[in-house]
Amino acid sequence: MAAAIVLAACGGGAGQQQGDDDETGAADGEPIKIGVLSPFSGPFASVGKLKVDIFNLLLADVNEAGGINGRPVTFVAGDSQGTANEARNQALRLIDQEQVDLLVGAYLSEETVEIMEVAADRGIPLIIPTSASNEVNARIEQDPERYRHVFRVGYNITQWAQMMGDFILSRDVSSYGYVGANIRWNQEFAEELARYLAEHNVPQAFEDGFYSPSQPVFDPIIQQIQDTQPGIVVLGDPGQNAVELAKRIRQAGLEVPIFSVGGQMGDERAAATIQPLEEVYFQAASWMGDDGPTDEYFQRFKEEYGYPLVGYTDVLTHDSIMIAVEAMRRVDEVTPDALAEALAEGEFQGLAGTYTFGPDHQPPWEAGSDLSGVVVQWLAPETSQRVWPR
Amino acid sequence: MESTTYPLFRTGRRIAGTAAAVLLAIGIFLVPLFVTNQFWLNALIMANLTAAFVATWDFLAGPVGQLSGGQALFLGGAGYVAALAGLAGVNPWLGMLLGLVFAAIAGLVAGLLSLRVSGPFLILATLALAEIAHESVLAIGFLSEQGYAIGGEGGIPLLQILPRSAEGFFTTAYFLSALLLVGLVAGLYLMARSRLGLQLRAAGRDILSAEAAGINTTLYRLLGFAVAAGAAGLVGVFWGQYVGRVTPSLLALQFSFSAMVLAVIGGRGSIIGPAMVAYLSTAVFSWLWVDPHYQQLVYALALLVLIRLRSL
Amino acid sequence: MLVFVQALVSGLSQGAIYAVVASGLALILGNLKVVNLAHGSFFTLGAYLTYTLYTTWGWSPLYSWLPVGGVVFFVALLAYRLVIGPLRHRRTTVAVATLGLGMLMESIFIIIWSPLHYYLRTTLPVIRVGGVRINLQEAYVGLIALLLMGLLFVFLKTRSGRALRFAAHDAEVAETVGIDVGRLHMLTFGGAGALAAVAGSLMAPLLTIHSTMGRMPMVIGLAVVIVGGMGNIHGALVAGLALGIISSLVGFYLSPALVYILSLAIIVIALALRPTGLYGALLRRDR
Repeated sequence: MAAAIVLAACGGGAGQQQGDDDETGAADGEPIKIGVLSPFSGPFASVGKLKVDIFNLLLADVNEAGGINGRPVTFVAGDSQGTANEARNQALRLIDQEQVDLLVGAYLSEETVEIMEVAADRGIPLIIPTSASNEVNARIEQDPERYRHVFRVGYNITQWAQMMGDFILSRDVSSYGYVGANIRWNQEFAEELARYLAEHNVPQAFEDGFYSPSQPVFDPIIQQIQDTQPGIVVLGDPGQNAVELAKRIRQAGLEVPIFSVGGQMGDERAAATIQPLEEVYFQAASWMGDDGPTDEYFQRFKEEYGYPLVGYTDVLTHDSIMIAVEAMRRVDEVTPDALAEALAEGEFQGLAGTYTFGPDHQPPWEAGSDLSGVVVQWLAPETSQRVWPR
Repeated sequence: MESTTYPLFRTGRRIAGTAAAVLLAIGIFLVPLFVTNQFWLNALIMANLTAAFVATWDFLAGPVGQLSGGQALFLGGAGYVAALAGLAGVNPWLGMLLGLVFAAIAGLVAGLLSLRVSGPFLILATLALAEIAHESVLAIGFLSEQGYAIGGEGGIPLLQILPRSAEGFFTTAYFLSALLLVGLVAGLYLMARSRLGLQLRAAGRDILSAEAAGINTTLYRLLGFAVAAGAAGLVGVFWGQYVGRVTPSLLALQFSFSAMVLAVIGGRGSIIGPAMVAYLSTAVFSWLWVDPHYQQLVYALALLVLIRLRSL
Repeated sequence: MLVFVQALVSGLSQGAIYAVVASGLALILGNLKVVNLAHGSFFTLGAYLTYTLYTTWGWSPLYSWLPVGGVVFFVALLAYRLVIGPLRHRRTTVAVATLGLGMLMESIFIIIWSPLHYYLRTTLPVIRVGGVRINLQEAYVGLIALLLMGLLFVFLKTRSGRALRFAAHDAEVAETVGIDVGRLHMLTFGGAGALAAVAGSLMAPLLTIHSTMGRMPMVIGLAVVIVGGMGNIHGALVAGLALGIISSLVGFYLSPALVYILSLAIIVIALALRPTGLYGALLRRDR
């Protein structure tokens, strides 16, 4: 009990993560604060570190270039711990105690839908980098007045399935296999993909491709792949179970092309453990290979922090920050309504392409457009190439 | 530690204890006079609900004498049943009632299990039941009436009787949660001290002697479970109404464990102690700013220190 | 028929892994009468150390489990001295303390190794014997696991082992005949931690290494221990193998999606049928 009191004495909103503002830049004036919500502990602790690293690197650049109309930008992070309750708690803390101007986050679906409500209640702009649930768009579309400050940057399930479906069709396969975790969004993704591919007469090779996330058994799935010989196997789980499964597929001597939704399969260190590393593909929001800003950013990040980016959460978080900063630059006064209007009506450049927000505050991710995502193939550990769109 | 306590002194202590408890209870209700900030109100509402939840675990552990490894099943399960009822078009009040009924029935099932299986075996069995529920809700999705997919990892929305956009939502929710906490803790505490509590205790601890004394231990055991589970269910439906959503984290192992941890620190069996510890720790950790990278570290250290202090 | 054999083979290696994770828990539960909820973190520590040994000195994960086990033995001794030893009394209090220890260790892992995930390659291939796939890496893990459990059985028959079991049965009487129960408990905790770390080390190339990787193996290990009879090593072995085989059969004949739920259901049913576990005797209730 005494310890709790001692700990309490040193708390109370005293500290914050600072953006690396360079004093020699022209950024002074009242700082703009961005609140970041993410898990920092538990199974998704790596996401928190990733977001902090991205914020630090990006905001350093922004502040060195003069900040936002002369004002420096800083960020404050809150640990949502992967639960809706803690996400709400931290969102309210960031709004009430830290007085942030804008929120970016969160990560898991239950966190994001909850802070969507908090942001809507309090009229604070919220930019959602990932979290693919279709529910987010549906809510915004059905009550645009309430959610006028909420925007999503990343692709939703329908768009994701369509982007991946296009690549699969380009491969001219007679059937495909889907393997995912037995959680709802993976199932929904499977259905969307199946629907899209069925329109083009590409059927599923096997039905039982879902494993339990808590106790995954891969052998029955390897068996189905071996027995049905699909033209390509889609891994719907962005987490580590997909890496483990991919390793085992190759270990079992199966040569079927593997196509992941992205996430950890985009990590070159994970790919390095798949032997042989042949015909392994993954979806990303953006990737290196066109000598553009993505190349530069990926290299800088790796040099600065010592680990590689994977093309999904990192790119989308980066673009979320860029969009937020740009929107703030375009308004006369940084107020929620001004920002919401700037976001709703503007066009924004990110690593992945050009973002605009439709009536459901969702960017038009679509294969064949400017915001199409990319498919990357691993050629060798640490060597990759974009293979789609050509 | 034996000491002769004179009757007057004992009565004096009892009066002081009751006075303190009453003052605390009144204090909890006076909070909104000083606190209008939404962050603070939310943090204290969560403190109220967590404390109530922990109290239900402790009621089971103390007076009923049974350890539950899956208390989240009763809380989260009740919330989910209420949400599912809502999806089916059922009136929210009725939905809450259905949630309560579910919790009580689940409690009975756990109680029946406890007649067969005891101690750590029961912890595992109840844990397993909660995990089955957790895994199921993660995997099963539904179509909302507007046509988009809900359920699974994102949880299920609930129609709020008091909508979150209502004037004074947080203050009202606070009062109701305080009422819930005080009522529940008082109710459980008094039940534990009453004759009924004595019978529950007997049925939990020493079945043979209790039976010999004419107590229908089966009935009392089941009653104890139904009460503890129903109480947790009450917290659960309230939780769902407050948040406007039920999420899988309400059924998670970590949630069940956290109740156990807080109850043990607070003094297993005393109901009020665990409730207080749960309240304080939730409030303190909501407000305490620790670099998010170190939050779990601080929590773990605090836990170890408190456990050490407790066992001195 | 082929599918059945495949399911059996897969299930056996998986089951051996469950059994070795459970054996450390069983050791502590049976002798110290406490649940060690830090067990998962020792498992994780073993994996992290294996990764570091590989990337720093190129030591193959096929053998590094030996030094890893040794190192973690001492880490566990230290943990016992600092956290558990002073608290030896109420079982639920100690269980909660181990939970805190586990969480603390997870936080320390993140500080030392950062929250990044790490990956190791497997070195043994998958071979086919008459159409049945045998994952040699998994089989290797299973064999070492069984070997260690065998050594454990042998140890329990030695003089020290008998002293341990005596102390488990009746600590007070054991003290009076000169057995230093406190020291025995500390050494047992060390041994269990080492066992968990060895399991983690062996599994490192087969899993993704991150701070919470040991949580689910621990939960499953706990289930195996309890169903096996609360601290009975034979029970842990049988229950572990059974769970592995049943899970595999469910995966092959029903659906891999149902494996966890059915494992849980079977656990509940098994407990309802045999309330003290497969081989267990009822422990004295703690007050």
